[in-house]
Amino acid sequence: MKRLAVALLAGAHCSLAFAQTQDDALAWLESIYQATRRLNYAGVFTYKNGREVETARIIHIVDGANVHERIEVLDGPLREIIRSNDEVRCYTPATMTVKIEKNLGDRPLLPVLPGNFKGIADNYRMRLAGVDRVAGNDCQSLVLEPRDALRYGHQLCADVRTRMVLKAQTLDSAQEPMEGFAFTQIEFGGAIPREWLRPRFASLSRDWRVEETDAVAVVAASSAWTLQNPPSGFQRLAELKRRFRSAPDVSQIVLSDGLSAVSVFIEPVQGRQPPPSLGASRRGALHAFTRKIDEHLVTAVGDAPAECVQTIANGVRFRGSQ
Amino acid sequence: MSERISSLIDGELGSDAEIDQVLRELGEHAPHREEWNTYHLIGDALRATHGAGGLSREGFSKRLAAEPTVLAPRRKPAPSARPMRWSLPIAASIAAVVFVGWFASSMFESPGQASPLAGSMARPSLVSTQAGGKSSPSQSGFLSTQQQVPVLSAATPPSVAVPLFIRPDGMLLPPAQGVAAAGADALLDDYVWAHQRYSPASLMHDVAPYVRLVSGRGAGQ
Repeated sequence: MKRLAVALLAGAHCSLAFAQTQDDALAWLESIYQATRRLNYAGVFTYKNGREVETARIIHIVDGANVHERIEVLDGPLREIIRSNDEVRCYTPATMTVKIEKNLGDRPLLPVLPGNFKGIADNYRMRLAGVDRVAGNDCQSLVLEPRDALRYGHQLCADVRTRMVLKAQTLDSAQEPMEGFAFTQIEFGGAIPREWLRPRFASLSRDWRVEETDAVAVVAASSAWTLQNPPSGFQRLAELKRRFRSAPDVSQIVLSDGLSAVSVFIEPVQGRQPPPSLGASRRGALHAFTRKIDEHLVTAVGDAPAECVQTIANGVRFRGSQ
Repeated sequence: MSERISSLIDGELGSDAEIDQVLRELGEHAPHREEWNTYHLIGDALRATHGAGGLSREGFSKRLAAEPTVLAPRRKPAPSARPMRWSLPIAASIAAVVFVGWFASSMFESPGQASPLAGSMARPSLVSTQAGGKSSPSQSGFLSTQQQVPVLSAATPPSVAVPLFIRPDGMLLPPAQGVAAAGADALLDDYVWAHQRYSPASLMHDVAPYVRLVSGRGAGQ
């Protein structure tokens, strides 16, 4: 009798401990999310995708409600990305092009509110996994394992002091890293000079080609499209009407389970020449699936395995209201 | 006689004895042989058969005598369906690489690409002679022949050490201007550009998604 009681207690203790670990990890996730919005930092990181590695320098300054950022790629052809709140400019001097994107409306990250983190636990097993050192800082490691084959796993290392993620990896089904980044140098603090944000190409001559895309938020109720049976946990994060240079009328619906995101793009077929190919495709960790509905091209693109992306694409239905 | 020659050619002569007789006469009388040639020529021309070049019997004999004697006929190679068969898988695999891989870097590595600066960039000169003189001469010594960067104003953050160059990789460059991207590529490029700010990385940290905008010869996986 006594042994049974001890066994029950032990079992209860274990599951309690497990629940605590899950909660600890959730708490870390929440604080990571909050921290990134408040921090000023300058540093150098490497970005890895498969076997390819690239290095970039980043300066990130938060000024009241404004966020300014500059990323300069240090390897290969020079590229520079300047972000200022919702506007992103990408400079490529080798082709003398600058691509500008303006998003109207809130930054899309906000819908993942702290309260929604609980939903992540439904689809990922979460645990803390020891303390590493990254760029000279002690970092808490978090592991997020998917509960099904429709999403990737993640491993994050967040600085214990500032809660900023200094190292992150996306893992495939074999727990192998597919894509990731890691800081090699980082400095936090407010004393970052403003002129570090200035792009190299402050004034462009007439020879530069400017390509603008923009996006307008769409109210979900007026959407002409529904998504049926998305994989568990995937909810509508945002919907936008977009304009690209080669396609002026594209709808984008973003689904997310809190960690992975898949965008569904819908556009009229005749906009594209030559006509794009249908079916599955892939770019590193991103998978895409394209199909045709009536005279529309529907493509799902996301940081998720091919099966997930295909499931989402196949669930797109035309509702007809416009 | 002309009618009988004509009938012989058409295979309408009645009996073997008649055929024999016409053939004998053809052999013995040259005018009949000329007629025989003529009728064949007419037939060939009507059928548009190759070789109806108006060659007379004498001319043909001369040409035949001039032909080298072939003792062992050489087997001709199979008709050229083979080149086509080879090129299709290669074309498909190239298309797959283009579709799956990163395409913008190819602009920098093959001078033949049609980018606005292709001509000037391919020129291996240390002295910058760009249009408008935008390049600073002091920089040209450091830059490779492929990159002559029009640096207009340099804002270099001090004290953050620059690591050694490593090979580029990346997800995407803004759709290449001046380079005709394959239809599928252009579509996906637009989409990846639009999607990247929603990537999981951007939910936790703002860094990686925009690095995906950069390109290089990726592994293509």
